[in-house]
Amino acid sequence: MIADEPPFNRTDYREMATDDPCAHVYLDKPIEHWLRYLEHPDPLHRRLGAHALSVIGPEGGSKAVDALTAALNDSKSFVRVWAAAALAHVDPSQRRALETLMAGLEDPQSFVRSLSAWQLGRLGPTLPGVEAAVPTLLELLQDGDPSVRVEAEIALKTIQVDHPRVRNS
Amino acid sequence: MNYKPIESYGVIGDLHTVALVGMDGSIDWCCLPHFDSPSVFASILDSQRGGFFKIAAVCPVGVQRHKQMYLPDTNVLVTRFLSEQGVGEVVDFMPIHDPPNGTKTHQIVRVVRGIRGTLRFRLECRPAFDFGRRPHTVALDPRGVVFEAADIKFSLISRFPLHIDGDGVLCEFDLAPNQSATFILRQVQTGQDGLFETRLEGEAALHRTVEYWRNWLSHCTYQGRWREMVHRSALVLKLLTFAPTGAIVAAPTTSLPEEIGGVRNWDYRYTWIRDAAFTVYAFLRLGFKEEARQFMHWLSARFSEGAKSGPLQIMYGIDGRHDLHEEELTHLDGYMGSRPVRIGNGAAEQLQLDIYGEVMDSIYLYDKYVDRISYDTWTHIRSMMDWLIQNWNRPDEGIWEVRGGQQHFVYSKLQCWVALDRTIRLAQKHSLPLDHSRFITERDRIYESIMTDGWHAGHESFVQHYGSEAVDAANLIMPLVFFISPTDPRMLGTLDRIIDELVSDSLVYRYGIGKAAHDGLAGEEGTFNMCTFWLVEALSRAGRLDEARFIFEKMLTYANHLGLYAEETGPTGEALGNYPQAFTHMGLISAAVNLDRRLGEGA
Repeated sequence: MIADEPPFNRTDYREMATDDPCAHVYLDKPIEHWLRYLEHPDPLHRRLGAHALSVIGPEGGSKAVDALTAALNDSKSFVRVWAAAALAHVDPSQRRALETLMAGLEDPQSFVRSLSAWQLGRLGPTLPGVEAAVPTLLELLQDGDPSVRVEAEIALKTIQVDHPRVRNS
Repeated sequence: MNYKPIESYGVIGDLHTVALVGMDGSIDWCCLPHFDSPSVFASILDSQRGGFFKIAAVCPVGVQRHKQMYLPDTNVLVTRFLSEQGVGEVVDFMPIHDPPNGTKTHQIVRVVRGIRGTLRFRLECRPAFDFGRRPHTVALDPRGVVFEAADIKFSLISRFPLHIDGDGVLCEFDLAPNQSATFILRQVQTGQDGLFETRLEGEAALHRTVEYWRNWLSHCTYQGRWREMVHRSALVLKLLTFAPTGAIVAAPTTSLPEEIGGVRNWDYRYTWIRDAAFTVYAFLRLGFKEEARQFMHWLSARFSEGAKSGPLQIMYGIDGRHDLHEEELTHLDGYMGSRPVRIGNGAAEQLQLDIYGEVMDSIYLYDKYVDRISYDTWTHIRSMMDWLIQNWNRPDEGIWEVRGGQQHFVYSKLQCWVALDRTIRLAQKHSLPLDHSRFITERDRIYESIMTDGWHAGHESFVQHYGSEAVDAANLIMPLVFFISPTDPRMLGTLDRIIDELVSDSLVYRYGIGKAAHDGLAGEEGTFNMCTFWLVEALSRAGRLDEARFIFEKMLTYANHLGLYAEETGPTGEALGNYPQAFTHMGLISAAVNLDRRLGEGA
């Protein structure tokens, strides 16, 4: 269980925040709350932490980048994929995010391959260098798992790849 | 308190139960797995304790508008969020069929889509089992989360990670244009497979469900005016059928009040013989024979069971059970403080003689348009009618289920006449064995009784009950069941008196509170939508087509944005009572079909 943190003074964040009242928080909890989730013994909590930082986005700053970069070495492949996707949202220039997502496309577990393809589809052309994932995505169009195939197809469409299978879908 | 207008809800369902979805994206009512099961979401009856499942776009700045529509010719609901940040949608449905290799499950599928701009959505799911009486646990799961109470378990399956917050879960996520996210709330059953992805599952289920509804509606034979409204009413009636038995519920809700803050809050999640018989008529008018066949099968099973008040009970559970024990849920606030909230219905044991007429009329129509009745059914009918001949002259609680004392209601006598009349017609048509002389004599006795004791010469109208001077809108049905000519001076006098005393802004009260036999309770009530549609039919049959059409088209404006109606309409056009109500939608279909026919082509 994550220990309860001291009462958080939201006014502090308001002074630092941009005009967007959703900045720096996820589900009304500050970034520090979710950074601790990335260290939780339960991988499902670590996944949630990564997602929270993804939603907070660039406002998470260097704290988020550092924590997510460390999470790229998580023992669970699906946590690594979530961390990579979050890192790409926080700082798209982080090359390791793309590398981890591409590694996920070749994971032995189909749900991780599907997850990676899905995340790449969500990031799309906004992710610098995403074209490097195209060959593997094209291979995944023949994957044995239907979910992997459909997420690969959607990702390729989003990246705007001209391929017969993608063109005709 | 935070309650939405009753008319702000759309309805989805799977022919076992329904869910009400507000224009704000919140599911505030759902009983699972069946109509009359304990609730999973009931915040419509208590905004704090009832439980809800909301998915909506977050709008930190500016105005947000909400709209709702159905995918054409389906019961797949789309709730739309429009703001300066962008446009998004939530597509809600309950799959009718399962994939070929699966077992029957009960589930709600919610597909969230980005349409324009990048929108942030917030999901909040807080079930409250058994009307908030049963505590539950919440546990994270690789597929999402599992809610578990003593003997019930639901999964909320989500690609996005869910955060446990007290007894519920939260999640926020962004969607850009053409991106989507699918969430599935599903009752967990043993033997179900493990991990699966919601996108494929959801898309396949959506395709099957859309195909099902469009295929079903394609069998509708109605080609006249107001076709979209008639189709929507047919789709609603179909949603209120319970596929495993063919029973039809009066409405899928309990305790939505007939008066805000009042006590007239009843449980309608059962099969009233009366409502179901009328609904069969509506289905037959539109060409849906299978629903009529299934209901007749359900009804036939009741013939041999008997009941305390006579051969039939006025209402049953959807599984045919007789005991509908009524209890008050005192821990619930009630819709906008309308207490008590009740489950079960104590009216089940009332004597309402009219049900025999409604049953026989539907059997007569079934025999005419679907299948000839069997000999065994005929013997049951004869037995029922033998009882009715002995008992038609008793006072009863009547169509309005008054709890303030039995009376000799004219409507009850009218339907007793219908019962015997249709029996005689069936016997004559098929040369079935019947003591014709006895039946005709008794039928005619009832007729003269109505004309003598149900008629008030001074007021030149039929009255609510023998010995009364008050008028009752239920008598509008007299010409509709061919008891009297629609242009008979007595019927025209009654019609005019009803218009004079019971109609306000084209909407019809069922009777005058304080003037007629009452339901034994204090307070006011709204106008009865069914009665307004009966007025339309009575006027159209009397040749007063301009009046009929004006009232009908005005009545259409009282439907909500999706074409749905509750039982009643209040003085400022608000929906009141349980929702959506089968009786009202049946009335719309009947009025539309008959008015359209009388207007003729090209009018």
